[in-house]
Amino acid sequence: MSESRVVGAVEIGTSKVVVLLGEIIDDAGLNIIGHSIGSSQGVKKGVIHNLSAASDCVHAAIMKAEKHAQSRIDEVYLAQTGSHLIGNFNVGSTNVSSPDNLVREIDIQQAREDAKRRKLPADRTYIHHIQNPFLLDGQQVDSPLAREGRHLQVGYWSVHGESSRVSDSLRVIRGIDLDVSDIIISSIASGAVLLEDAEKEHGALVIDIGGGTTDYVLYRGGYIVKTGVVPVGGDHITNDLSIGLRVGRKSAEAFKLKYGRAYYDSADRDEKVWLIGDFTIGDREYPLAAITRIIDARVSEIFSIIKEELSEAELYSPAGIACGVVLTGGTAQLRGIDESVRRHLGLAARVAEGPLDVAAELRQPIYSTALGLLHYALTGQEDRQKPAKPASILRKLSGLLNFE
Amino acid sequence: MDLRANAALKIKVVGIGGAGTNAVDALQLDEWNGTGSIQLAAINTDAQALSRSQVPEKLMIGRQVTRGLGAGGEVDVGRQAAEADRAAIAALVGEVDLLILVVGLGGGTGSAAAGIVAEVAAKTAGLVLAFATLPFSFEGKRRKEIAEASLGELRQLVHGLIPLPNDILLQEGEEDSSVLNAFAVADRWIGRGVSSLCAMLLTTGLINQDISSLRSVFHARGGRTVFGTGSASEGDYVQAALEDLLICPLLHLGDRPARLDRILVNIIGGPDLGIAQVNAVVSQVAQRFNSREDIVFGAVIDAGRSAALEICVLGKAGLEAAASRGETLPPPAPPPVSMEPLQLDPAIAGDDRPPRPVHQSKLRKSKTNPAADQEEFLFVDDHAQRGYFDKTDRNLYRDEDLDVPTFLRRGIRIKLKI
Amino acid sequence: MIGRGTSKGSSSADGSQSWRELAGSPRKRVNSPQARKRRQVKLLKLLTAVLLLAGLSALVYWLITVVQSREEPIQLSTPSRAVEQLIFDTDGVLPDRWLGTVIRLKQGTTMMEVDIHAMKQALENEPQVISASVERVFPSSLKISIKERQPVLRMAVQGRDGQTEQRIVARDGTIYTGVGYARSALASLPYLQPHQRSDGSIRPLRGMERVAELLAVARQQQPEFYRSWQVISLEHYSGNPSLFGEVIEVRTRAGLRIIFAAATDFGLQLDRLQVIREHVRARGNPAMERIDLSLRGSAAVQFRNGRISSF
Repeated sequence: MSESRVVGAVEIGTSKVVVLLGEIIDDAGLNIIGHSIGSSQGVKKGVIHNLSAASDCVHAAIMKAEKHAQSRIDEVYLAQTGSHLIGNFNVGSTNVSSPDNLVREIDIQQAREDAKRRKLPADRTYIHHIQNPFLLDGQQVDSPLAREGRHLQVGYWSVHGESSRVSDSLRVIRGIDLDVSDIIISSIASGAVLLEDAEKEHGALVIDIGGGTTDYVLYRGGYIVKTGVVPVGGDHITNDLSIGLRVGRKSAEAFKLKYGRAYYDSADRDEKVWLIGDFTIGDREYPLAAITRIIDARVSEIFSIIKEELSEAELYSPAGIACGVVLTGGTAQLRGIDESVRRHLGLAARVAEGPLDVAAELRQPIYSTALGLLHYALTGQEDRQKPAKPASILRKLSGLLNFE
Repeated sequence: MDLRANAALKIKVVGIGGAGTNAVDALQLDEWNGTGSIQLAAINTDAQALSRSQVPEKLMIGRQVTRGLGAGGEVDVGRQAAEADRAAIAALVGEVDLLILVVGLGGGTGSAAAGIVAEVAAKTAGLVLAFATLPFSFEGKRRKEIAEASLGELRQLVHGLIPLPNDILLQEGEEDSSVLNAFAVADRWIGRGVSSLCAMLLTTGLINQDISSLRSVFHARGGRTVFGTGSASEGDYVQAALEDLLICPLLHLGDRPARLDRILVNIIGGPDLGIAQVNAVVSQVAQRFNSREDIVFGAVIDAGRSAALEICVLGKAGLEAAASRGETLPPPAPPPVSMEPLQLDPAIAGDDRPPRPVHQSKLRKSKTNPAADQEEFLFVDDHAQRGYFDKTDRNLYRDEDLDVPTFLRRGIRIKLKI
Repeated sequence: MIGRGTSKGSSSADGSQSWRELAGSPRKRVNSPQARKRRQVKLLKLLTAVLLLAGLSALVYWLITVVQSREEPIQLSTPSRAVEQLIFDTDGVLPDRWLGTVIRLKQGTTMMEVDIHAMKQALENEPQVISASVERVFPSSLKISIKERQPVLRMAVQGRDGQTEQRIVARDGTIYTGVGYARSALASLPYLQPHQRSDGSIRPLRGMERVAELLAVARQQQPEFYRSWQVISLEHYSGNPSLFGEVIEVRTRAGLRIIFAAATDFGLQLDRLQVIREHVRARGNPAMERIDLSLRGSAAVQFRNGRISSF
């Protein structure tokens, strides 16, 4: 009899909550059996500010997805974002222990442990240790086992975040009596599922511009070498328009969607647009140049910040990022955003289309993080715990009493 | 029996620090010298700057501390200078009905001395208003922090505080906006605010308001002050001035509409300004505002203008009735109560004449329902400019607050007028 | 693609200070309607199972005992008579028939069946009642005694349908529809203009005792003048006498407005008022507009012709 478990991928975003239900059979195959998108309250810039408001929304979304799938979730995979996430590159090393200089498992373990031993301040916790290539006597190797060498090094890209923020998101999920099997940061979730192996190999940068934050992940030689979060998102573009055009948020949002472009063009100077646009009395005209200038300033700033961070880590090189930028997230749908990347990051860009082995409606950029979570649910990280505990008597009994 | 005489109204405009003094220099208020007096004064540590100024009354503070050389951007120095001359400051601001302080925050003299001047002024019986400009984003973190600390302090000490962020003012400048233009815009707006107040208080207008109306708006200290101005001088100038007012950036810095207690709206027009036009303005402004407010209107004629209109809005937001009425004046004129006899059931009426009946719904807690359809009038918030992100922590990335719009921080001018 | 593709460089969260250690933190439940619903459903299922089990075992037990013994229990009950009389006693004006609208007693209810407490609650819910007591008087009566609120002022209230109704204001600030009052008794009460709070609401009326005191002192010292008082306005009286500037304004039928300070002695203020009125009358009695007794030092009088004097 095949073992199946139902995993729920939950992303608590600034403007929406995304829940995907997947059924994993025998740890080998995944079927997506339910999905829902709910509004999000109490979350700003990717971080939960109002626990009860956020819980209400998340729980509602989860219930809706479960209803859609006609199944209960066994375990949750949770996405995490926010500017409190910081990454460091740590190198661990060890000398090869055996006299014949052949690397053994224990050496690899030793090197790994050495890399992860860096202490964090009391209010922070580790979320990921992402392994980067080994260096055996200075030579990069993917698998050093049974190879000859004296000095083994391994680098880890470690991501840590504020403990209170992380436990807040955990509490939201626990509030509906579900356990979190794993936490994956949004950037690597999206990256895992939107890039082909070849792209990861040749170097690619995935930028996910959501409502409150912009997450990015850089692949090189098949490894994740850097992740980052810029605490600016689509909401900031709307706010800029609201202040610059002296209109309310709803109007600013309408302008962004209808007329917004990521870069300013001198031809805009002669164009004017209407606020409502259907000959309502009291409608006002606005110069298109104002709109595009405001958006241009904000969008270019986001990309400049990313370029600066990459340069500081000495990872910025158009040759090293041969496959360019893949854009996703709600704001990736802004007209001309790929052109803006070309101008300010100096890299080719395309807007992601979503993985091909998934239903058409789930290929929208809004689902990319959640799909990434499902990917991790299937392939797992290193320390994946044993899946679902054996059904207790109570569960079996409650199964009998299933009225719905 | 002794009589109470109506004394002539005394208004004083005091510029503090370099920027403040420049602003006061730029004021043109001779036309309003009617039944009262306006005096201009300047307080500074920099002797040279003071001597260049045209202002009639000058006070140099901190002679011992700075030896007439200015505070050099140091707040502590400015504060010492002001402390040293407290008595002189008190003499300057005493015995005045309305005191208007003008200061540019971020530097040494203005930021520190303003607080002390306000403190001294608070001890007098006069009404104290303050206009304060805030430094540009590109001037750096330190000036911004000094300015914000000063702003917070001032707000608690004066009756009404109007912040004017330079970033925003830059947007209002001319086509080839430079930094100097922002200062000119600040001067112009302060000028409009001050002359509107003087016009209203010192002349008898078409619709007359006086210092008690101003006091009723600003009776408590602290809280947020709302200030906006619009003007036009050609064509359909009434409509154009209204549009200009509604698009005033000082009224559009926050996302949340504040609850206003009372607003003063003053219009200045030429001799061709008639009651009909005034009514048009009155009804349009009342319509665009959230109907909960108490709006006080004033209209004044300036013989020197023609076919032009200037509208100025001034009000207070958000303080609960816990505020104390700190004056020993006779109570302000209460709003009119209609005392017509009601057509009551004869069993109850008799020869009684009950007062205005209270609507049943007011006996329970009433909910405010904001007008949903039209564009709501948005008002200035405390730490303005962050809009939607106001209640969250500062989004600091290498000393820049990313929540503040990028175009403002980089000084990119967005032209809105077509 | 989901699930496919090689991932070089595996990732994990094990090691010290990992988020998994946070997992052990105390479970503080975050409640949301959905979470509660789920828990309720779970609880319900558990309860049903337990109940079923309990019911089953109870059934078994009963069967066993029934089979074993077949004795019949003896019936014992004390006869209780039905309530026949209601004795109604009040220190105010509420009529007997009012009682019937508040308390509904079914025919034939016995003395012991009557819910005394519920009756007392129902009576005390009526705003005109301050306190009520319900006692059984055997063999078949109930004694109901109530203490009523005393009217101090009245208020005109506009109902939803536009009709104006009259309400009574009691000494403690409660507003109620007066029942049973003689028209003459109410005619002597002044009208109240309540203090409007900043959000427009009016309830509750605070500090009414002070106002009642003013009226009492005035009625006692200057009954003639008091009869001319028509409206009491609390526009500038929020009920907290320690605040500066709290005043109670009285308007007479003649249109005169008198302003009393809420915090100072009313006797003194009334004395001064009398002095002022006599003084003015002696000087030819020019019409007065307003007398302000709340200022420190002298009082101010504003005449119809605009002049203001101080006393």
